[in-house]
Amino acid sequence: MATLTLVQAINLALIQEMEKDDRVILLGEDVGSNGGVFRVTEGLQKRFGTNRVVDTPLAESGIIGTSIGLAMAGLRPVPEIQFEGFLGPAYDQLCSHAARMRTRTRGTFTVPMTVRVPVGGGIHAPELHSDSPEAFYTHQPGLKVVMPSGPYDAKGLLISALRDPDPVIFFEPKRIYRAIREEVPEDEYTIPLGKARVVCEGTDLTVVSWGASVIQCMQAIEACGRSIELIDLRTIYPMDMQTVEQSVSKTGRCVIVHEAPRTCGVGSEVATQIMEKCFLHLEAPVQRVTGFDTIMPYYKLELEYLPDAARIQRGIEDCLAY
Amino acid sequence: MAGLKQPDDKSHFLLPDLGEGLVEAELISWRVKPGDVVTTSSILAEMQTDKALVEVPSPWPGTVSELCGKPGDIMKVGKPLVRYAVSGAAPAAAPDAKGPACVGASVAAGVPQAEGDQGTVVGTMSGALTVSDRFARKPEHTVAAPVRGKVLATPAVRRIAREMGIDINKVAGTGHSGRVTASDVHGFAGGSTTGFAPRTVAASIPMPPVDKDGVSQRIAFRGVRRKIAEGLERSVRTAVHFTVVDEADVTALDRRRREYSKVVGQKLSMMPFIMAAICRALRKHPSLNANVDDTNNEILIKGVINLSIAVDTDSGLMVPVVRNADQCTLVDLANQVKVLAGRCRDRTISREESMGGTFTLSNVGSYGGMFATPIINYPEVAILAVGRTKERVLVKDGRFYAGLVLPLSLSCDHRVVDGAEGARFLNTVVGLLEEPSSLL
Repeated sequence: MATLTLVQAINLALIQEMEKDDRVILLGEDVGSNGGVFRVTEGLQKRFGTNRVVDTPLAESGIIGTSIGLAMAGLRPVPEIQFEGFLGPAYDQLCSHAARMRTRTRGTFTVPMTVRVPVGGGIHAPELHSDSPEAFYTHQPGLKVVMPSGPYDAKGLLISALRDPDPVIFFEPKRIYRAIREEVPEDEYTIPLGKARVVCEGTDLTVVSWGASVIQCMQAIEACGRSIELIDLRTIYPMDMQTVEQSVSKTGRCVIVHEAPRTCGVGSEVATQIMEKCFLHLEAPVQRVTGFDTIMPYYKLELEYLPDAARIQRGIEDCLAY
Repeated sequence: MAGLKQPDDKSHFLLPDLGEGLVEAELISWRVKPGDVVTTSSILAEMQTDKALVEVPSPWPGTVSELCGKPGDIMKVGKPLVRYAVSGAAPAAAPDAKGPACVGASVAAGVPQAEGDQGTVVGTMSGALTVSDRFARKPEHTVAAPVRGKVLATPAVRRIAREMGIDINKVAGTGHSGRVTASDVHGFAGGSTTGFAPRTVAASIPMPPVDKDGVSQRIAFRGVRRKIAEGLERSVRTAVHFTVVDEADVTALDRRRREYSKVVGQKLSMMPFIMAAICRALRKHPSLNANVDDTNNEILIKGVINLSIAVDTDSGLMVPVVRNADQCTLVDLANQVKVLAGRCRDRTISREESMGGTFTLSNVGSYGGMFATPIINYPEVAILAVGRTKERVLVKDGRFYAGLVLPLSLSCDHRVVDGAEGARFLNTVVGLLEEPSSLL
């Protein structure tokens, strides 16, 4: 089995699905001859031709609008938006059309489209290149939202997303694009959307996270030396609350960690559902360790903004000591 | 770019495309100098593209021998950025550099290689993270382990248990779906401190029929009323009560009280003086300043004097505690009683403030009556009830005089305090009250 980075795992998944299903096509800024802003689509245009790997103008609304049309007409487009900060122009297409098409047409048309979007901070990038907007799209009914935390999950989740009959926003945490390697089977496999992963089991407290923060959580858990269960949501919507509920009912304590700003972040929803489902088991208020309610700062301060192992550990210890 | 061919002998590093098909970038600063030993990913230089500052890492380990530019220079992609000292050591280090990057090579043609490519147009991709074995991927299974060992309870009930110092997981739940209720916690507290089980005995004796005719009001026997009842019932069932009564001539004390009130500018009642007298007497007769731990068969003589003060409220009797009463001034005592009583009446008193008493004072006289048979505030061992002061004709040294008399009723747990000791304690209290200068 090969040890791959997240970039390589996604590249592999794209190759395998494109070979298997010629309806799968890629489009986006620089995804073709340039191999993508993060080199995720490297070599694919050469391999599949310019009809299936299409360089587009710099126009996110156009990329998504075009993809919606392609999807409704029977293809499985995989548009890439270079950075999550540029989803803004595409928001209208995503929320006004892609998310609603199945309902609007009473099931006559669906939009089997997977929007690949590098997400999050930690790579010293400028403004609009480091945000975590997953909550915006989680709140919009009709969209599925996925964010893997490692190469193995990335491949399996991406294949599931590509085969899903409805639009999926596939967030790729750029901070760990090349920072971690994992054994990734060359064989085809899928990881179902909407199923969390229990990264490690524990009895004292549950940590819920997703994306690159999962790695920070591991470091914090390692440092604090208690029996802590770590859950990686993997799919943010639909959310696997059953796994979270089971865990928090066992531990009675929960810390939620995400990069995104605190207010109305996905953590708010997780905390609320824990309150609804695990009320009688709670031994401490659910804690959140998150980014701040500010614009993501320029990169000099970005590591202050992002929850790191020390801040997560403090959250865990506060929750344990309650 | 990945397409850029770096020299096989690793003698120099060609500036790769920092993204987006750039052909050049401005050198902002060097992070290394000739002679520096670098490892894979050590930052060599900081460069400015038209989008961002980019840190350029070394693609392999080695010793830097030459820098091919100075800050401010425009560096061309594909031209040398730094040169490395070529020595016997460099090829030996090569597998380290090449190893991880080559792992994916066999997977599929087209899987991009990180080597030589920044991997991003914007920002940096530096810094490898490692994941400890404990987070290694395991076969996924549905975790359906039954929830064991922890009880169900609302956060409010958990708070009660926490404040009472009770491990809620030890309390048997009787509520909906077996959840632990507040009553369960209180019941557990009562059960564990007394270790006696009157309920089972009571349950076996049939209750007499109750005539339901002519009822004008039905009041649920619960809440504070029920708690009072349970506490008193426990006390009466457990402690062996005896009561001894006496009177104190407080004529002089009353005069001193009025004078002292003027001195401190605050009207003082008899209460702080009586409390001070009790504290002095308890120091002399410590066996009355105690708790009985029936669970562990121990009599706990207390070194601190925490006076429980019976307070009448709309919801019923409450008994807040004045802590370290022997260390308080008369004014302090008066104020503390006032504050605690107020908090009892507006129900803001916390449970802790009613716990830890070592002796109880009940001022029934403020409502009327002379003598009483007070019920001990179990697990304390003694309680003093003071009645209403009355003007009476008194006799001293064969002469009549009009004086003020304070009736005192002391109940003790005869298991712990003998009748003689109870009487001696009461004598001491009377003596102190009749000799007010000793209290001031």
